[in-house]
Amino acid sequence: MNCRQYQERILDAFAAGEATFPDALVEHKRNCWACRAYCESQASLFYSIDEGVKAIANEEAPQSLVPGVRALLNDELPSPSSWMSAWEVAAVAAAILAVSFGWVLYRPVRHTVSPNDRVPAHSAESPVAVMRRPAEGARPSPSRELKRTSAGAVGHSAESSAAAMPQMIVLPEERAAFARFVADAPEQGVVLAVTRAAPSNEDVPFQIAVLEIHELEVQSLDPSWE
Amino acid sequence: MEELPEKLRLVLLLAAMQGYTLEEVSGILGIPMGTVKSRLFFARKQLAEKLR
Repeated sequence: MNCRQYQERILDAFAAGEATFPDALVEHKRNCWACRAYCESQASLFYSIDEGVKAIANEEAPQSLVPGVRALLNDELPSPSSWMSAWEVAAVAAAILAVSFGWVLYRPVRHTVSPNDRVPAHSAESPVAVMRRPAEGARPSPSRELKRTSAGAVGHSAESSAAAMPQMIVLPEERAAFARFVADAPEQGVVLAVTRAAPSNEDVPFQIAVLEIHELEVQSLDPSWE
Repeated sequence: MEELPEKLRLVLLLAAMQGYTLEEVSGILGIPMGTVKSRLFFARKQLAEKLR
């Protein structure tokens, strides 16, 4: 090996942190003043590198770091004055609830159903759906009466309310009699009748499979039964 | 130091920190022990060549 190759070995040994050199390198360094000087310079260089890196890695944070970070955080957070206080939020929520509750109680009724008008006279093709209210809650109240829409169908809101109430299907030829029953029997708890179009009953084809039963001979597993 | 690649600089700084052995650096970075040693070697060598 020449001096350049030896110096490369010296550099690699210092970079790897090796404490000892191979015997051949030690022998060459003893006889070559240039490689000996190079080894001494590299030792000084790597000592400086190690000390500098240790100083950087173990450097304590400056005293101004924490206050600076806090100042940045405070700048990024919105000021408290821009936020509504909890009392303001509660007041707004209470106002919204009060307005909504008042509207539900005192909203105008579009149409009041009279006893003679509870079942429409037309739409003879449609059956009648009747909703009953409990007798104890049968006190007429304009705000609690359902709105009747066009004949044979109820509005969306009434339909959703009717879904929670019992229903009765009345044949078209019985509608007049049922209307008289509804009008003459409020004491039985019937307070309102709302008509709704019946779903179209289309003929659905169906098949009847032939059931075949074969004779079976059942044998007992118990020999004493034979 | 800033001219070193990030992966070399990180290994060099962690290895230089007091209390961190090469095994701990390997565990922190999730890389094999040999990779830690090689990165440490190349980091020190590149620094020496830049400071020469």
